[in-house]
Amino acid sequence: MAQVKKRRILIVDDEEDVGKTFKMILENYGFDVDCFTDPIMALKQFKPNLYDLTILDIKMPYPNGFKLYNQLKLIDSNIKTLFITALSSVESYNTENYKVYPLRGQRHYVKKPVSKNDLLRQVYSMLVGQEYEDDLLE
Amino acid sequence: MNLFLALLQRVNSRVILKITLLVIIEIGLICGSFYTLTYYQSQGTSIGNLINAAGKNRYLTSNSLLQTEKFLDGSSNMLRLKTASDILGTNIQALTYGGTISGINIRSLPSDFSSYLSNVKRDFSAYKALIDDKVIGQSHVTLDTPEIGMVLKQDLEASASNLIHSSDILVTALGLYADNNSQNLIILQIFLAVLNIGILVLILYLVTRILMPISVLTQATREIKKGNFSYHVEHKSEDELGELTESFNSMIISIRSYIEEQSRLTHELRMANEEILQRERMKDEFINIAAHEMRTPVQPILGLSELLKSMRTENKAVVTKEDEMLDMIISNAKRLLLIEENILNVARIENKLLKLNKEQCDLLEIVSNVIQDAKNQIGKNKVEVRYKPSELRTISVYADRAKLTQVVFNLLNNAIKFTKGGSITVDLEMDDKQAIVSIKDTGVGIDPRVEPNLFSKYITNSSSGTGLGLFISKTIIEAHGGKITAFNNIDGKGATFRFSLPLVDIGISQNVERTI
Repeated sequence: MAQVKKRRILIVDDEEDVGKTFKMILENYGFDVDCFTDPIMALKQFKPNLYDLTILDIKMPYPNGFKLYNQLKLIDSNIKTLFITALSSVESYNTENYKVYPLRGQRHYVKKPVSKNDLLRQVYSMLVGQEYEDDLLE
Repeated sequence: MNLFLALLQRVNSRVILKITLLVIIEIGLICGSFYTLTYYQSQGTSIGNLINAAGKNRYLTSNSLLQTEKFLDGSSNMLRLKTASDILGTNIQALTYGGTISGINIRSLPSDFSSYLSNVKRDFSAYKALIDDKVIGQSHVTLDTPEIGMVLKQDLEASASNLIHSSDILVTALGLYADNNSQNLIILQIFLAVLNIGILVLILYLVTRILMPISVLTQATREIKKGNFSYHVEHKSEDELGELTESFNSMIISIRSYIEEQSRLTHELRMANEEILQRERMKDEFINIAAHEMRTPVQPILGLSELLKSMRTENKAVVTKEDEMLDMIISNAKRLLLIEENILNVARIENKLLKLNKEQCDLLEIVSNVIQDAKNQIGKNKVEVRYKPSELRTISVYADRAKLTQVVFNLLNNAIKFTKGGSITVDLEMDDKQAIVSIKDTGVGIDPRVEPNLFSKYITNSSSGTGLGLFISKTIIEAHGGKITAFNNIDGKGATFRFSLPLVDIGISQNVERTI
């Protein structure tokens, strides 16, 4: 844990408890986490270079995760995004929203519910750019 | 004729009878016409012969007169005189009763000419009497007397002249008759030709009428071929074509009603099918929503339990009862998710929506994780799990991580469920082409009654369980190009489940999403 620099993560999920769970897990592993249930609020306070990573729920009232991603991308073109969806098939998003945001080939999504270790593995791999190792967390 | 009628009766076809009758009528007509014309022609010929014979009278009379005069002059003899007069007599005889003159057959003169003929006969009798009495009956001396000879010659010439005259009248009358006859013949010929053509046309018309239904029926079959079943053939006759038309029409009606019945049934079936599909869709939708809605609350349960557990173990070295409780919560939350995933996957497989999100993943890691997560179950069933993949560092396969996890989970969970107090050996092997995972237990083994359908849907040999796990596992493994098998162990204790996965995937360079 000590090897990992303190990073800032933005979580947007309309399910408060889910967002909170992610926040608690990630905070426990040394991340700085902001959590929003309202995508608009999240967008309002978003600034370039403020976050290292955003974790977005795809299915939200308005705007959905893909649309929010597009907005965030306009503000910070380098932002990394991890999608989380309760829908078991991200593929269904692929077909429906392909034009909005092609996820095909994009590996940065996890299925909800995600285990602690899977979540951390994804976050680490995206931020550090290397595979997460289990023994780090034990 | 009787034979012919018998033959006709044996021909059991009214159409053939009708046409035969018409042909017979036509043949009769032609024969009749031919006979009539021939008769009239022969009539004309015999009149011609009579004219010839009657005309001969003039020459024969002249010849007889010449011979008589020569006889009187003494330059001819009695025989020539007689012969000449006899030939004349024979000719007149032939005109009266018929006969053969110079090889030509002569009929007796028709009664219309009897008055002319009687004139000829009368003049001939007079002339003959003159010769017989005044020439042949007299002595040579008497005849030598010039005065008598002179008078006799004059009488003879006058009588001969009468005979010639009356013969000429007969010839003229016959000529007129023949002329009239030939005109009649022309008229008759024209009349018969017209009649024949007329009857022929009429017969053709009748034959066409008789055979008309065939072309109408042919047209009808063409229409039916096109699918026009409202076609009705209008034709009525007493023969078998009428019968054919009638049965044809009733056939169309039966076909039409059959088709209507069929389309009604098809419609009903379609409606019923539509309803079933609708229900099916609703069921799937319900399962989908239910399963998804259930996932969201599991996230905090799972995530927070895991966090809590790791926070506790970070601080303490001793595993307490609370830690065990947390393990049970985590393990059961995961079980819940996997069971749910099974149900969803069946719905996906049935709707052909199961897709693989393939990525490079480590089979060793997947198996290890599943065993790790199943620890609670393993402990509860007092099962010993032997797993020593030490010689292998990684088994890299190109596969859908989540679905492969599910397969291993299903197989391991089954083994645990049926192996109380026994042992389970999990083995991983690898060669150039494939990786093989086998899970061998010492449990109850596979029920032989279940074995043939082991990998089918809803097949289970326990009262608990959905019976979906093996069906899904098979589908997933086969979608990866692998194989799954199951068999009872040779030693009679328990069963072995094993599956293979190809190490090289053709779609390795890109994320291929396969629809199963």
